[in-house]
Amino acid sequence: MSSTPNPTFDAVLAAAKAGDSIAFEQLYRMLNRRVASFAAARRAADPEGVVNDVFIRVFKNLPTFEGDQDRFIGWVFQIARNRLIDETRHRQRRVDELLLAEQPTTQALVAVDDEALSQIESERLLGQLDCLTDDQRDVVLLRVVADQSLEVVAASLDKSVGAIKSIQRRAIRTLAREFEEIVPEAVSR
Amino acid sequence: MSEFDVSPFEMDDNSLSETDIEAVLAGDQTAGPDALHDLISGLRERFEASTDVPVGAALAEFIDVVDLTTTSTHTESRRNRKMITGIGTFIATTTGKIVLGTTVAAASMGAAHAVDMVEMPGLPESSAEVIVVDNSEDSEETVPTQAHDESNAMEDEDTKEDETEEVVIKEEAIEKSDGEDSEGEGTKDRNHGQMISEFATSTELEGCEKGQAISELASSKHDDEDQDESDDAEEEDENDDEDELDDDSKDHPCKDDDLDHESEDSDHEDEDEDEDEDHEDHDEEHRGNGKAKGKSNKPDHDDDDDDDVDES
Repeated sequence: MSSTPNPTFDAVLAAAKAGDSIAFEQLYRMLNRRVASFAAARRAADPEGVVNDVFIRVFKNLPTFEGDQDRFIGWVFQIARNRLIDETRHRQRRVDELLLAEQPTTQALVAVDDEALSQIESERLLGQLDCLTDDQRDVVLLRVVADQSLEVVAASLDKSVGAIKSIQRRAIRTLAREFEEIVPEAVSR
Repeated sequence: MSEFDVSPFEMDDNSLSETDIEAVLAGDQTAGPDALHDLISGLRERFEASTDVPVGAALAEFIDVVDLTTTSTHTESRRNRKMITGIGTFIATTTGKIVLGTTVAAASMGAAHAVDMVEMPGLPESSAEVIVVDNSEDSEETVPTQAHDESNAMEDEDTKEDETEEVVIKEEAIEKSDGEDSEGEGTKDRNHGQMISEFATSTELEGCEKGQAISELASSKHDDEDQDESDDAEEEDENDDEDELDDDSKDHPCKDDDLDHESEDSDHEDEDEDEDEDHEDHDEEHRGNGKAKGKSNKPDHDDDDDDDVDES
């Protein structure tokens, strides 16, 4: 995402703040898919519901928002992130699902459909991010899944760009170290 | 590597540039371990949304579309906005202004014609719908057509209006069913016969009403004054006869019709012998011309009455 000023976005944002439903729709179209991807990667039980809740909050508080495009997108993902944190805190029944996802390769499954396989693979990938902290995970997901810039991620986590760079560096190193534990064992032989 | 060895990714940050990190996050497989590349690419493929999220009922209060996936309403609203914008742009041009002005002028002229403010040759006359309140039972509101036909038949516009008024007047006369000729006095200066024929051919009336209307119209002619007088005299005679019948006995010979007068000339002579001198001239007239007798007897009857009174 470009951090340069966008007059078109500014006009749309101003119209949306004035209550124009068409401008609301444009903002929704711009971000709804990426918010849904981020919610799904954060293991949201209902990613589409999260998207609707996020944008309801965005449109309700839009008159009080001040900032450019990057700050607005960051503000949207900040709302989404807080929404997902609240959901995680109240999620107890997913423990069994996580336990099931941890041992897919060792369990002998009699009949599994494609959707279940896809879900298992997704859980495997997300499981590799469990070694990261919450901020490192969110930075990686915002950069990779939501495809956002450093400025947007900084606005989402309410941190500086330098801090975000440091966080993502540590995240990559941690992930690499996890993979290196497998590779060094092969190299040392 | 031993446990004391340090991997490049655990080294100081200066050995790992931002470019390398950005390359890894962007999916560049030349930088970093393959497992990391698989993770990054896998996350993008698994969790990247391909379609818009449907709008729920609560969010629909802010957005006028229920389901963005259909996009029909949104497209229609955009299409309407584009249409309105296009029309406004067209009107802003010179051609658009001319077209708009012409349209407005035509509409205003039509409205003016509808309220009889302006007469448009090509449009039907709304005034034809006016008028003659025909209270008769079989009123067919044919006056509009009649007036229109008459106006087309006449060459002079003034006569058109006069004819129309005349027809209107005549039909009112029919409704009143009286023999007033005062209203026909306005046709003195025109060809009365032509007027009557035109009326007879153009009128929508039928049967008795038509004949009565024509007769009324014809009776308004000045050349028929004599006939009217004779008719009036006949009417008066009939009225007098009726009066005499009321006063005198029914067998009185003067009360009878003309034919009775002729047949009873001898009776007159026999019964009124004393009045022969007075009746001689009248008897001859009775024998010769019953009508003459009837007419001429008018004063004579009065004299006879006087004589009767004198003799008695």
